Amino acid sequence: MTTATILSRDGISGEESASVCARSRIYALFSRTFSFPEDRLHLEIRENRWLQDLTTACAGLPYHFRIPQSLRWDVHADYDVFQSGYIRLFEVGGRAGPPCPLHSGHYGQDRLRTMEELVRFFSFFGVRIRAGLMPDHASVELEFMHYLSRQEAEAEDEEERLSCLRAQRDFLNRQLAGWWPALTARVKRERGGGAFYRSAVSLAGRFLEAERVYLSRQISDS
Amino acid sequence: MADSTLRTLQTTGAGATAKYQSQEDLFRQKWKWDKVAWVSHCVDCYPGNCPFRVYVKDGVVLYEEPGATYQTIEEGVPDLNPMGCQKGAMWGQMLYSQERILYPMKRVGERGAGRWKRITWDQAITEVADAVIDAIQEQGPQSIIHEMTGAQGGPMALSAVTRFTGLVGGITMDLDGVVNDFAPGMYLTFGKIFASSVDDWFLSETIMIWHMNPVYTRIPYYHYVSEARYKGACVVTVAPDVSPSAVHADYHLPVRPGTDAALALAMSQVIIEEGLHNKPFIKEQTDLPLLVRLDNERFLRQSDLQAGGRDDQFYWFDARTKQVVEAPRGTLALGKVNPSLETRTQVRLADGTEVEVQPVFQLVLKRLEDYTPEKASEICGINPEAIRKMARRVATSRTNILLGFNSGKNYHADLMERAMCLMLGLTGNWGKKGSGIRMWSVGPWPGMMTAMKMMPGPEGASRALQMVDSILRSFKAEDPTVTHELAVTELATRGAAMGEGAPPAFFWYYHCGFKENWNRREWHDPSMRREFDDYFNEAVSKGWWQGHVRPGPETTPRVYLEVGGNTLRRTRGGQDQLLKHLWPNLKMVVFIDWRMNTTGMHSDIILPAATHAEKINFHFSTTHMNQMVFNDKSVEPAGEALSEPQIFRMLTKKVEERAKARGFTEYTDGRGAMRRLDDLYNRYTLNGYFDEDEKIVREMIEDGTVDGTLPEGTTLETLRRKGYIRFQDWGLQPMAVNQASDLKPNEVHTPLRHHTERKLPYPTLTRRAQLYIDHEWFLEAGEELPMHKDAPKMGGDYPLMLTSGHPRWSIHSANIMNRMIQDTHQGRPFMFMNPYDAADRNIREGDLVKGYNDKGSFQVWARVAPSVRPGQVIVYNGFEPLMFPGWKDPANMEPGMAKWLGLAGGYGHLRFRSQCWQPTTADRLVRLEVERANGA
Repeated sequence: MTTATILSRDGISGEESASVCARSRIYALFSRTFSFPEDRLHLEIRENRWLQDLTTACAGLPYHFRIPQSLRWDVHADYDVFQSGYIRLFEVGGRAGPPCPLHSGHYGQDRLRTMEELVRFFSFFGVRIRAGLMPDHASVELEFMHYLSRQEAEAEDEEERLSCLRAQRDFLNRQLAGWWPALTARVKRERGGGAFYRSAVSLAGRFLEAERVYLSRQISDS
Repeated sequence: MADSTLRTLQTTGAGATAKYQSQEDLFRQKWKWDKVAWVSHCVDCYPGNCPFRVYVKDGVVLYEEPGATYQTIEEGVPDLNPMGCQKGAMWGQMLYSQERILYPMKRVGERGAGRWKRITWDQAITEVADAVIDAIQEQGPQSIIHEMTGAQGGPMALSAVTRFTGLVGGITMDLDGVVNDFAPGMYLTFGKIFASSVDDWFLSETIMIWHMNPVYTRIPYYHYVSEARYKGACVVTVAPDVSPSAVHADYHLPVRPGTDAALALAMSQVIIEEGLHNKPFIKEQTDLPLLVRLDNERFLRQSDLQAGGRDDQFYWFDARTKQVVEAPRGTLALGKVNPSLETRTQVRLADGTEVEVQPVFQLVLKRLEDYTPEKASEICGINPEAIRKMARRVATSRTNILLGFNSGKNYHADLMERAMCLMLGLTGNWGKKGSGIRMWSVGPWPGMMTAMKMMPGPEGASRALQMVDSILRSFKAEDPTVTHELAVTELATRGAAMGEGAPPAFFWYYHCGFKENWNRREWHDPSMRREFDDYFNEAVSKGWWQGHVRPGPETTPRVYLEVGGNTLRRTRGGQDQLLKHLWPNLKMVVFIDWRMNTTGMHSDIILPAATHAEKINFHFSTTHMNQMVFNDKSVEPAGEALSEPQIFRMLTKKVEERAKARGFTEYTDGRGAMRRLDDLYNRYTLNGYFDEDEKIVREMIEDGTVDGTLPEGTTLETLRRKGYIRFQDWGLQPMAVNQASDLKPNEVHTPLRHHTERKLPYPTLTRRAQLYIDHEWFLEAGEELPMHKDAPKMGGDYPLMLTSGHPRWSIHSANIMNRMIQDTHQGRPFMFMNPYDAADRNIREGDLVKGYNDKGSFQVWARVAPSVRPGQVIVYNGFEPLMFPGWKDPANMEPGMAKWLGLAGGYGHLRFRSQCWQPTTADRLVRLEVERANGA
């Protein structure tokens, strides 16, 4: 499924739902961004459609969020070089393991315990990972946030909405917001991988931080 | 309802009914495991065979714990439980470790540049298949190389690749040659290597830990050493350093590095000097009563006494009849004969001349004159009184030498081990419980029968069994003195000369640049009288290695299949050696593994292998345990990983398809036999029968009930229920048969009991435990009997000596990159060094230092420790080269010297068969200097 498809989906109505939807869309967009890059994504980035999609979604956020001008989004024209950069940065590095793994379990003490908590989170909200994927991959965690925020938008009552909000807050605090700064720092140190992923990791980090503040405020206001 | 916006997740429709309040709710939710299954850690680990349970939820292994369900074998002997170590306990972490490879990849930069792109399985397999066909067309199938290693994939991986190379005519390098876990001195003495079960240690009265460090390396069953000690056994550690195993011993004998033979010979000298030797045992079990001609130092043979006489009929002097009589070849039983150990006499040869002969024992006495405790002490550094004390202890107690994988990696390993065997032979210390010497051995293996089958099902197994049986019967018919063990050994030897296995020494010599190293005379022992090449060429030209010189100089290796191994770490000489000499000729390096390592980084195509709980498998069978330990598939492989059998089924199918498309379906292999590719898949899978891994496993288990290795009625379900099952017989696996003991359900396993109890002959030239080797090269070297020789100056004349050993933290390099394990040590490679040596070089704890010699150099971090003796430095095995600065580990300064006597052949048991006699490369006691690295 392309970013455009995700972004065009609109089963949510109302102003508040629309802003939640924007949040959900951004999570979905980042989830796809940090999955292994398909050639279509590479094309969308090259043709600037990826950035346009993101910019459009950001405009709908319930809080002010700006994409810094300083970030560079250029990618190598050759898809093989682009994907090779992703592999070198996130999957296979010069010391066998990647310098900047996208699995959150690698940033903690015990990956199995990290994955257990993730699996429990997913199980509680009626989802599970697809075969071949690991529950702690950035794309999975980001997609879970996408899923929870959608659930929030579609909540039938306040209790359900709050349930989704609390889950987003906890999931963000215990998972994504916990390890993303370490990922950002590692990516910053790495020369390989290209400008795009450095920018994407940095921007996603800013977004997650903004989300953390927003969700805390939402829950305390409730 | 399915959510179409989800790509990585899917809805289950089964979420919690309660609303989420806090994170604690997740753990309050009622939880049920999707699956609890038996697994083991199917890696080249010899403790190993630890049954574990994994707990699976949503396709992820979340917990793992030891089963601890082994039953007691022998009454009064502790059971094996709990089995496991820190590596096993975190194998689930390995399953999800950072170095895991999840997708097929192709190199897009230079080899080693670390630039990859993902490709589809079909593209990857097509490229490999085409490379295989190209290699066959251009150089012949013997240009397709696989170095056997059990490292990462377990028996299922090993059989998958060897079946492939076997069918296309490629070459599989012998495991013991590749990793050098061979014990040449044991082999020279007994014609085989063997190992008791670990619970046999409990029955020892004296345990000599010699070239072993079980506190590090035998974590699951070191308890037998402690338990034996609590029962009254004396534990002695012989090691140059205060090794971790020395800490728990009653005595530590700190021999100077490489002088173990002198110590053992001195103990032997004391044993005879004080009349403590066991004459009946010596006469019955060893060659010490056999007569040797004094004119040429060779055994007296029937061919000396009569025209057309046998070369393998030997003689002794019967003290009862005062006659020189034939030593029986078919039994060790002496009958009414009383072989003399003393009598020197004269015999008339076939040509009428008379020569003097005397028993080997007298030559031993002469040899031992050079090894009185005082003289030996000058060599090995052990106090003469300590030597005497130990000698008396060995002579009067059931003594077991726990020989690890270390001794064989010494240049003079043969001499060290032969000296130990002499000491044990003099004291009757083998073939009875709690005694002997142990190395390693493959255990019973029903998969061997499965591999031999021409048709599936029990009938196929029965037919294979009948075929083998008829061959064994034909050997026995040729020579009625041939026992079952001798027949199986002969079959293994003849089979090896026709099969696809080869000792790697010739591959290394011709294709990996070792010719240059091995001809550095100054790196050899000074007693090597001629140039190395003289010996090499003589061995080849005399046909001693006929059928094994593969790939020869006429073939250029083209395809290298690395399946679960790591040759750039493992091979002596390391990357400097292989990347320079071998790699440029290889057109395709295929790397099949579940994790990235140094060899993977230098490969062309990476194929991700499933591992651990992702595939059905077994642990390697060993005589340490004699259990068939099961590993069930309990989760789907991560990413796009596939099991090795799946990969090779795809490859055979693709090779067949591409061969047909290219119109190349027939060729002649390196042995002149016609091969076909157009039915490769059918032959690989027995006409499609073995098209699933589980079917293969099921067949192996059921074949085990046909060949008798497993109890009747054993099925896959038995293993799924229990996790393991005890073997009940050795089957036809030659190394297992070479144990020469009955495998009993209620007794520990002690090798060689067939020899000591049933008086069956040994598989040696003399049919006895052979301490005297009268091969012309051994005589030339003065090594017809064990002696001490200093380790040669391998790598040059430098003051320090590098030693090593298996580490505490990793099974070879399998776990070493795992961060959880790295947290248990420095997390980087380090070298132990004595404080005096460090101070002399201005080196402090934690400094980056450079080790170097004439061969090469490496850098590593120093650990200054008084437990290491001056002159010695230790870098434990297992660190990945890419953990060192510049990716260079100590192997880069190891010349990998092969002792020339390893090439000896044309002599009784000095013949190659799988994991037996062959030249191996030394890496212990390499000379070096160490200094602070630039900028340290």
